[in-house]
This record gives sequence, structure tokens and C-alpha cells, in this order.
Amino acid sequence: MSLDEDLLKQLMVSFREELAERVAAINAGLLGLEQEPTEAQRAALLEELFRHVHSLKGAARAVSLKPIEELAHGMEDVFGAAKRGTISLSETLFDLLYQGMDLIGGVMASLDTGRGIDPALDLPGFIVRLAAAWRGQPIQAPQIEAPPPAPLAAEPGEAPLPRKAAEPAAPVWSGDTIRVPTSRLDDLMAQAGELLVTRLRVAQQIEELAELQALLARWQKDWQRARGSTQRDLHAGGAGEGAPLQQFYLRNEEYLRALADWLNLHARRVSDDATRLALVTDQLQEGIKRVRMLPLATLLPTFRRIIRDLARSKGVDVALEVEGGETEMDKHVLEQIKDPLMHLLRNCIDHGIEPLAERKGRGKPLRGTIVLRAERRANVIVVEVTDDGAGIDLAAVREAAVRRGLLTAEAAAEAGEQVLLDLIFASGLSTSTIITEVSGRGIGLDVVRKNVESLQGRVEVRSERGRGTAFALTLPFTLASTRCLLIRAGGQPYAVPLSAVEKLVPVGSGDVMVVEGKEAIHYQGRPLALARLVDVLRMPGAPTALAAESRMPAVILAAGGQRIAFLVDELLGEQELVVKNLGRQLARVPNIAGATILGTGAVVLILNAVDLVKSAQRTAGPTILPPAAEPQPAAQARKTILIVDDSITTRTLERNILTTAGYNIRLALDGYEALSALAEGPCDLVVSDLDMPRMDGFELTRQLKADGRYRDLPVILVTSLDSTEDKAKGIEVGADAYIVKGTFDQDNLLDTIRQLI
Amino acid sequence: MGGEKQEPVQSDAGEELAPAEVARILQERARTLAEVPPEERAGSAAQVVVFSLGGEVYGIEAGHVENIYPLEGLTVVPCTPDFVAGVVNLRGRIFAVVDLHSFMGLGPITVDQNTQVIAVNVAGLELGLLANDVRSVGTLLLDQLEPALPTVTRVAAEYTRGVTPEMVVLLDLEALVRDRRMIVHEEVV
Repeated sequence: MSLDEDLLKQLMVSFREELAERVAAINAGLLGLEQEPTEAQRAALLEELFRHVHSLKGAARAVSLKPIEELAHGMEDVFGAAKRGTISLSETLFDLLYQGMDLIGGVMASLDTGRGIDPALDLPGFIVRLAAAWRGQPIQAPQIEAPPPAPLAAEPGEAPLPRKAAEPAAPVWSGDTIRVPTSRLDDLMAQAGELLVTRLRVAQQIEELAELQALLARWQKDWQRARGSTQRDLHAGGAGEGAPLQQFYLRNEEYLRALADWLNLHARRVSDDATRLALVTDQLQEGIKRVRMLPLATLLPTFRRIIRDLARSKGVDVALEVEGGETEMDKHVLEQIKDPLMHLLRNCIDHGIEPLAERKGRGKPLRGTIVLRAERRANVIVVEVTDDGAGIDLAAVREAAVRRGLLTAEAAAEAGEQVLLDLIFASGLSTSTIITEVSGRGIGLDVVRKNVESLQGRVEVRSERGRGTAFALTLPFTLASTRCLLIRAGGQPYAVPLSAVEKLVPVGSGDVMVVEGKEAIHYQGRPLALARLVDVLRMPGAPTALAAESRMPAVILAAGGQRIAFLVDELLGEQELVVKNLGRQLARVPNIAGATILGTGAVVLILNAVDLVKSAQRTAGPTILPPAAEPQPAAQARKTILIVDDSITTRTLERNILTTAGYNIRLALDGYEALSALAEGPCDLVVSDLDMPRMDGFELTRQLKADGRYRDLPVILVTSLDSTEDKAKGIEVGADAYIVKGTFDQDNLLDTIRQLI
Repeated sequence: MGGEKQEPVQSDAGEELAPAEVARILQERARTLAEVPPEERAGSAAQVVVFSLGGEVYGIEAGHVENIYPLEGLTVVPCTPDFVAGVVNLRGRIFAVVDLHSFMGLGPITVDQNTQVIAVNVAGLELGLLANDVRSVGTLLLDQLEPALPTVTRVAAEYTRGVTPEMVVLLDLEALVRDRRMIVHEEVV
């Protein structure tokens, strides 16, 4: 008895899997048939559809699911007749067949509730309607002269493969594939992740070995240096070759040499093994990751169905174009973005693509286009949903935001485009009539954002009135290990997932302004709130005010439609990290997503970008600006330096040094350009190369010093030649300083500048 | 398994016993069982790990203890209650480290180079407990325990199983872990 039940349970598991695949394949086949295929394609598609419903019928019988068996049987009849050419498939029939697929889903769902099949589904009624629909519709005119299609194998390479029309290949079971439960892959993935930790630890050991080698090398050097004199002393002291001390001395030398040889050999071997280990773990991890990867195209059949149904019901004409459907992503990521993408696609039709008349009036092509584009960029995947519809009506958003109390009337009037666009993700607005009314269809744009952010990704929207709207989801490539930025704040290192990092910017006190009592920096032409990471994390410690002359790095994190710049002590680098949780006792810690173990064995916390941005908006930390000893010292302290050099390398190098030191930089390629740059706006100092096309550094200096406007403008000449002659000439033309590139380190240049301005 | 008990009773030697004899033996056993054995009366014993923490001496049942490590590489976790000292890497696993002294409202202990971490598993919850110094692992007679009165210890009675004559406060780890404050679960709103 129980054995049978067990067996049935097992059978049901595999039946569900088979059912899902067959339903997807049938949906795809139907869509293919609707797209006016050639006769050969049509025949092949019908053959395939017939085979799928037939197998479905058998499978349903095996698990005693009579209703599905009967439904499949009814559909088998339809495809059989169409195959034989006795009927052609009308739109009504297509609709019924799609409905049949939905009914199967309904049956399975109602079985899940454990209360048996919901009678409201009215399966018998449907089967009757289906039968009536095709029987009552005999073929009007036999358009097909060709005999029923030969089996596919009979025409090799001739007709295009049926899949071409019915696009993404539904995963059909074949002999050389194995079904593996995802949980088993997850386990493997976790194990491979652990290997990464081992690998980091081995790398650390190599460094330690190198230190050991260096230590031994110092010892040997010392020994050698001391050797001559000590041996003389020993001889002088009367110790002969055979004296115990002398022997000990020689033995020691041998030990030391042997130790060094052995250590070097060992270090080399460890290093070789580490290289191999790195190679293998990389491949292993990459391999396991790939096993879990599915192309975006696997979601397409569902999407096409929804777009078809919705477009029909709204009476609009829409084509879905897919670019990069082959882009693969982690199964989990794919599952998590399925609903958000579905919602965005619905949104395109509900609010994007205009009715036919309106499109005609605007001179747009009648058929609207929705583009689903996926692309891998470095360590992230960007999925974009774009439509060529009406775009987002910002005025309406503004109005709705005020109505819902999300913005005051004044704030709304001032709000820029990006602020308003971000608002459409706010939960209060997602149900508003203008933007996202998708009645009864589950999720709103706020949930889209939440889902994406739970994957440590982000959503952005662009829109142009009358031209269309584009939503872009930026997602991590994989989940087991995450590419992170390592930073230090309050003396402790932390990791931030790179997918949440929008930008890194250096911030000096001169960059900080106060907006409505809060500190902010200028970013993309708008003020961006600035917070000290330690304050947001509520870490104790003396807050250091930003100094005027040096800049601190700030990490701009984007989450929840908000951006905040977080000041940190130091950027430490980038690393692939295995995310672990903090254990059951620390089930959920604000601002902390998890932790990782570095190669050194140190535990580093991984920050939660979504939390941080939320927390930062609430934190009123101590002021970041130094106490205002002099009014607006910062704005005045920022000096502008003009760099004149024809070498891009030198320009970049100098610019980096000087920007970091807190100067504004302007660039010119030669003396000639420098003069026009100065004419455009004043500078505080000029750093110029000597050899340049058109006008060299000497000539530039001479002209500047001869011009009353620039006489007091300090000029530093930089050259690669350490020639006394040039130096003399430089002084003669009036240069204030002369630096040779050979001695060109950053302190030298900075010191010189500080002496002059 | 259940069926075996109903099989004919046999003596140790394997021969079958007369029903009267069986009854006599069973009665005898019942009497023995009903009586508290003298050894038990003298006090059941518990294996305990004894350690000092913030000037007092505590004991916890050794059954909960997985291992004891010197405290190394503690990473402070921001936004957690004061009693959470941080997290450490114990043989490749991340453990949260808790200062019970602070948790029981007695103020944080001073961490120095002798501080140790006792890795415990209490009802499936894995934790590291800070200890200033692990003194010993030994046997403790439970019937010698006195109730933890406020005059004897500052620790709330609900967290203790009693105090030994040597003034070792035997902590009730299960009760401590059951305390809702122990699990950190805080969202950012």
C-alpha cells in the first residue's frame, strides 16, 4: 500500500517536471503556428504539438490524473485533425488551445491545495467546447495540396527546423542529459565556494613563506658580513681549524645554507601547487556556476504568451524583440527576476504602447515594439525592457506624488526628472492610475525593485515623453561568490557588493556643501547626500573632520531609488568573496548582509547596501566639514592648476597627483593652447613641459611673464632633461621652479606647488 | 523492537523461568526502582566547565561545550546589542561571540590576551561565549547547589541553576538562549 503511495509520489514529481516542459513546448508551438509559418514549418510544428499532447495524455494516465488525460486527449484530436488537413486552426481555436494550457496549470494549482480539482475550472465543459469548435468547423477550402507531412527525418536539412519558428528550445529530455535536483547543485556550489577560501589561505601562506625567505636572506647576509671579522678573532684567540668553536661555526654555516636551500625549494613547490590549485578551483567553480546557468530565453515562452494575451485584450499590436536571449544567468537569479520582468512587460503594454489611433496620429509605426535585451558586462548582467510607447508623463507623476503625500507641492515643483522617475517605484504610487495600474496582477513596481535588490542588484528607469521608456535591471552574475569592494572604515575592513556600487569619488572639504542642513556633494549636477560610513554603522570612535588639503574616498551606493555617498577611510581593493551568514543568533543585523573569511583567516563583514542607504537617510551624524574657522574656507582653498604637456601619460599622472591633493585641474596640450585656456578663465599656477609642438615651455613662460595679466602667475617647468643649460634658460625666461622628471615624485611636485601658492 | 519485550522471560543463563519466579523478580525490581538509590540521593553529578567572567566564577554544562579557543581576530559587528562582542573564525566557521556578563546586565567584561571563547551548542544554536579564563572541567554535585539568591550572586535567578558551596554560579544556558533578547533580528525600517 504505502509502497504504491510512495511510487505515486515519486511519479508525481517527475510528472510535474514533464508537464511543465510539455506545457512550455506546446505554448511555444502554438505561438509558432500563429506566426504564419511556411507549410513545411507548419507541418513540423503540428507534428510536434501532436506528439507533446499525446505524450502528456499517456503521462497523465500513468499518475491517474484523469482530467488532464481527457483534456490532452481533446487537444490531441484537434492537432490530429489539423495534421491530417481536415481542419485549419482558427483564432477561436487558438484561444481555446491556449485556454487549455492555462486550465492544466489551474488543475495542478488546485491539486496543490490538497482539496482536489476545483469544479469551477469546468474541465468537462471546456472539452465539449473544444470538440464543438473544431468539429463544427470543417475545412473550408483545402489549401494544402501536399500530402500529410512526412516525418521529420525524411527531409533532412531541407525544411528549416521546426524550432526556428517555435523559438526557444524547451528543454526536452534526451539520452545524454541527466536531471539533477537544484539542491544538489547548491551543495556542490557551496563546496566549491569553500575551496575558494582554501585558495585564498594558500595565497596568504605563500606571502608568509616569502617573508620567511626574506628573513633568512637577511640572516645569511648578516652572517656573511660578520664572518670575516669573527674568523679573524677566532684565529687570533688561538682557535685552530679543529677547535670546537670553529667547527660549530662551520656547521652553523652549513645548516643555514641547507635551511635556505630547503626553504627556497619548498616555497617554489608551494607556489607551483598554488598556481595549479588556483587554476583548478577557477575551472571547477566556473563549471559548477555554468551548470546552474540558464539562458534568459527559457523565460520567453511565458513572456510571449502574456504579451500576446494582453495585447489582444487591449487591442494593441505589439512585437517582442529579444536581444541576447542566449545570455546565461544563475537559475536562482533567473527565477527571481521572472516576475519583475513579467511585470515590466505588462507595464509596457498597459501604459507604454499607445492605442493604434494614437500611434497613427503621432506618425509612429502602428505596431509597437518591446525590446527585451540582456547583456553581460564584466561581473554583472544588465537586462533591459524598452518600449517605443508614450513614455512616462512626469507631470502626472508629480501630481500623483503630491496627491499621495509623497512630496509636498513645493518639493514636487522643484523635483527633477530623475527624482520623479525614481518615485514610480514608491509603493504608494505603483497603484496610481497614471503609471502602473495593473489591476489584480500581483506585483507593482515597488516589488520589482524589492526583488531586484534582494539579489543585490538595482533598477533604473529612463523615459522620454512620446518616445518610450526603458527599465534596466543590473544583476549580479552569480550568487555563491560575490565580487566585492573592500574598504576600511573606523579601522575595520568591510566588503561592499560591487553590484551596488555606483561610483567611487574622492571627496575633500572643498567638495562638501550644505543643503537643507545636510551635507552633500555635487554629483551629476545634483546635490548628493554625504554620510560617514562609521556614523551610519553607529560605530564609536572619534570622527575625523575632512581636511582641506587631502581627500577621502567616498563610495556611492544606489538602492531603493536613492543614492548616498559614504565616506570611508580607505579603499583596499576588489575581491571575489564567498558570502556566509552570521549564524542563527545574529539572524538579521541591520546594515550587514553577511560575512566572509579572508585568506588571512580574518572575518570581514559584508555590508547590505539597501539597508545602508535607508539608514543613512535617518542618521544625523556629526558634521563632516571641519569647524568653520574661516567662512567658506573650502571654496576659496580650491586652487586651479593648468597642466601643459603634450604627453598624455604625463598629463594623466600629474592630474592624478594634483587632483588627489585637492586641486582643480585644467589641461592644455601645448603652450599655444595654454594661452587660450588662460584667456578663458584664470588659474592659480601653471605646470608646463618644455618640449611641446607649436609653442614650447620656454616660449610660454616668456610670454606669460611679459604679459601684465599673468606676470604673477607662478610657472613650474618640468622636463626630462637634467641639463644645467636648460635650467639656466628656464630661470632666465622667468620660471618660478624647475623640476626634472627623473626626480619627479609626487612630494617634490606638491612641495613646490605649496611653496608657490 | 516492541515485540521483544513480550517474549518468554529467560534467566541470564538462558533457561526459561517459572511465572512465580518472574513475578518475584519483577516486584523486587519495582521496589528497587521506586526507592531513590543511595548514590543518587547523595546528588546527581554534572560535568561542568568552570570559567571566570568579570570577576565571578561560572559553570556551564560540559555537554553544551564543543571546544575552547583563545580569542583571536574578533570582528566587531556594528548595529548589534552591546552583549554581542562580534564574530570570530573558529576553524573556518563563523561564530557569533557573546558576552554573557553584559547580557545578564552586569556590564561588559574587559577583553585581554587571556580571554577565551567557549564554543557551545545549546539546542542547536551555536555560539561563542567570552570567558576571562577557563579554570577547569570537573564534576559538580547537583544537590549541593544552593538557590542563587540576590545576596549570593548578582545574576538573576532565572538564568541560574544554583550556586555551589565554592561559589560557582551554574548557569542555565537553555534559559539564557530561550531569552528573546538573545536572538538579534532587527530590520531597517
